[in-house]
Amino acid sequence: MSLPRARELGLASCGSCFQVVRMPGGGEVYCPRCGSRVHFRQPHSLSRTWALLIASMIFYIPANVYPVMTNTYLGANSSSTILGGVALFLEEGDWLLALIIFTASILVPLAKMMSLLYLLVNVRRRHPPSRARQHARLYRITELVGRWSMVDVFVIGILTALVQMGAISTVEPGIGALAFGAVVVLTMLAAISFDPRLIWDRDNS
Amino acid sequence: MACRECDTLQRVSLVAPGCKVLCRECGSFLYRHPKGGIERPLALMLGGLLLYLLANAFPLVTLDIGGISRETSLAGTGWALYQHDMKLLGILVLATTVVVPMTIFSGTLYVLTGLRWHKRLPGIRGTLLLLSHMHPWEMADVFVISVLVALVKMSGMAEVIVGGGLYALLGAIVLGIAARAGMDIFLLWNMLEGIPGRRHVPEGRPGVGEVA
Repeated sequence: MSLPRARELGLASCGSCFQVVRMPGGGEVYCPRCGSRVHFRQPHSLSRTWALLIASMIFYIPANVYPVMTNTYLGANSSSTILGGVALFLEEGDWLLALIIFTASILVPLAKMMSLLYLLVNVRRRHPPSRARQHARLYRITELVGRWSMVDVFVIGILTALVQMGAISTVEPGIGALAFGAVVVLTMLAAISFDPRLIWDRDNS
Repeated sequence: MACRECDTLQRVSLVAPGCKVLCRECGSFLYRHPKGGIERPLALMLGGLLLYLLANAFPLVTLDIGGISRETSLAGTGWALYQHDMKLLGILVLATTVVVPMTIFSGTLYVLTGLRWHKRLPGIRGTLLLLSHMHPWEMADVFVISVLVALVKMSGMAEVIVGGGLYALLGAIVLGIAARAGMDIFLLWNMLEGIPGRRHVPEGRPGVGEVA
């Protein structure tokens, strides 16, 4: 049994309130219920996602190369990168924390960028519905986990606010933290601009 | 209703409370009818907002090194970054941990109040529209994990005292999650439509789509 798809009948679902709206031939259409602009598909979804994804990949380099914070302890300076922070927890034997930071700051952003790249490359190919279902699930997970990468940025903020003990110890945020924040925001925006309906547009065209 | 993920058009009826509806084609979530009516999320949101205000009013963590102590609050974290030459990052942190959660708590409360007493409160449609897109940017729960990580990181070099603000924040997050479990955005829009009063979008105006 095959149910019709909304676009085949000249209908579109409002992106904000789910209202199904009849789409006339041309011109802008606004949702009669919530007033947002209605589109068959998010406009320029793929090029926007590509642009944001590439930008996030570029920012990912300084985010890992430059220190995210500098700690001064009794006059001695020590800068640490994201990976350095994970290594420090490992040295101290804090396996759980090393795992949390590694997952949130390294695994999740990388996995997000890889899965968006995979979806963008594959969305233009034909594939069976079972494959489309997998892609849709991958997208859903990608959209969901993005926020958790902010853990490291918040940790740096908390340390900056608290560790200001004059001559004893201070913490200053590093430029790597700013780049990392940009990676998180850009990958989140990339995931939001990807229209999952495009995954299903290919299998019956 | 058309599925958000695969665009399959299907007729959906109102299911019994406690049930959820999945797309017939791709199995993704369409909507759910929560138990407990609208009073439950309303009460939970009110409690959540109060706890969230308390979380902002009291220090989260106090650090003590040999008699010198410093404390920080929720807003203090973003503000510290802002002051230490990281203006953009500070604004991002302030937005995701203070501005967005505050807007979600108070905005949801406003919309639920209007729906509960069948009043088309001014700006209620715009508020619900804003809330529909805001949730990914709410990061209070991520922030709590960060506090715990920071606590362990500092415990080696100084004495750390957990303040009342952290407990209030935890409570606010739990209530917020519980309230969200008691609401469904599709049903909220349906309820708002059912309230009589001035329509904010005049039907028949050019550009306004036709309900199908």
